Amino acid sequence: MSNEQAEFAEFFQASWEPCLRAVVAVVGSPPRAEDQVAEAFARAWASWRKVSRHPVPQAWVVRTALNTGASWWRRRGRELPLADHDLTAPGGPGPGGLDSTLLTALWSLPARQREVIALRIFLDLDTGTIASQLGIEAGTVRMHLSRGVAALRRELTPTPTTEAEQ
Amino acid sequence: MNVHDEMSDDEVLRAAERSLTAIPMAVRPDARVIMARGRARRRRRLAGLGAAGTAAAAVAALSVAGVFGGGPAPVNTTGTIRTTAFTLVKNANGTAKLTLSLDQQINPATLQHALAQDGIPALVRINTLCSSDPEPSDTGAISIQLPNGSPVPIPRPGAAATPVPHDAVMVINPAKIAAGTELTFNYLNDNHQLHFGVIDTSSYTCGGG
Repeated sequence: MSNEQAEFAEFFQASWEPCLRAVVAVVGSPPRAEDQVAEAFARAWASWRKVSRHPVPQAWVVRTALNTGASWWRRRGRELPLADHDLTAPGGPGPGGLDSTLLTALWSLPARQREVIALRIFLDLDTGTIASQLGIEAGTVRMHLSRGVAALRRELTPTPTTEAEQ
Repeated sequence: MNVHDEMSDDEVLRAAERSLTAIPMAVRPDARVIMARGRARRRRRLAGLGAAGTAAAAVAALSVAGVFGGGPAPVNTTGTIRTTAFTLVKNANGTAKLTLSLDQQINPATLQHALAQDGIPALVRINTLCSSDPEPSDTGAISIQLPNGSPVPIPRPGAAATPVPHDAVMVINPAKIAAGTELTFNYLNDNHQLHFGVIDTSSYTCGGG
């Protein structure tokens, strides 16, 4: 195996899961995310000399995977479906920490909010780096993050009922 | 104070991370499989070869009509095999001229059989990319020409797909196909590109696309 192949293999092994989780956070369907991430890594290898010099190669993979999926669906004239995954029944936190109510809320967020959250959680990117990767202003990233987190927080903590509402 | 304020942004994000991490995922593929798929992507890519109209129009036509599907039986006259989707003419000097009409449905088996009849070993596939590792060296068995014989630059492996003139033809010289190798033509419906190259007959993989 050449040095270049070894370098890519090491990158692939270290990056597959965070990239896949990030894409799942955006597209909702694990099987589709796996296809899109595999395709993105194949494209990364096809252009490895360029991708290896990218400031955040994992972000390149995630963006490529998401673009692949978006174009696939656009060509078929369909909306990107959300939450067509095979998860447990709705409810709060379950075994292993899977909270299907929270995930449903996540996948109901606007796409940009999901992207920002995914890049923050799984690639641990700061606001400036997310902004440069998505081609938007840092302030816009903060706005998407704030709104997304606020929507998720409402699902995590039961809304208190007031006497006026009773 | 609102109860929602009790969870910090970081705590909310960590909760989302826990839920996403708990989703069962398939086992990570072997890096070699991914690299083989990527290697096939680096193949020479053409868009719009032989389609009617400009290259841009050809791509548009492809989005309406699928390629490499069924298609009528070929008509075989002396030295020429013609279907609605491709024409293969055997030249006196042993080369063959292939014209693809990508706005028509082409049966890969029909094209592969027609090429074989002209002594051109080839693997024709749709929506999958075939490659060997290591990839056999390019011996120049394929060239792209305009009807007047002037050459059209073939895209470098790994370069972006090259839209080719609508009247361009592919000229194949079977004498330049090294022993133990064969040509491969892979059409991707996904992006309307024709990938072509050389594979080791006894050792190749197909996948991805």
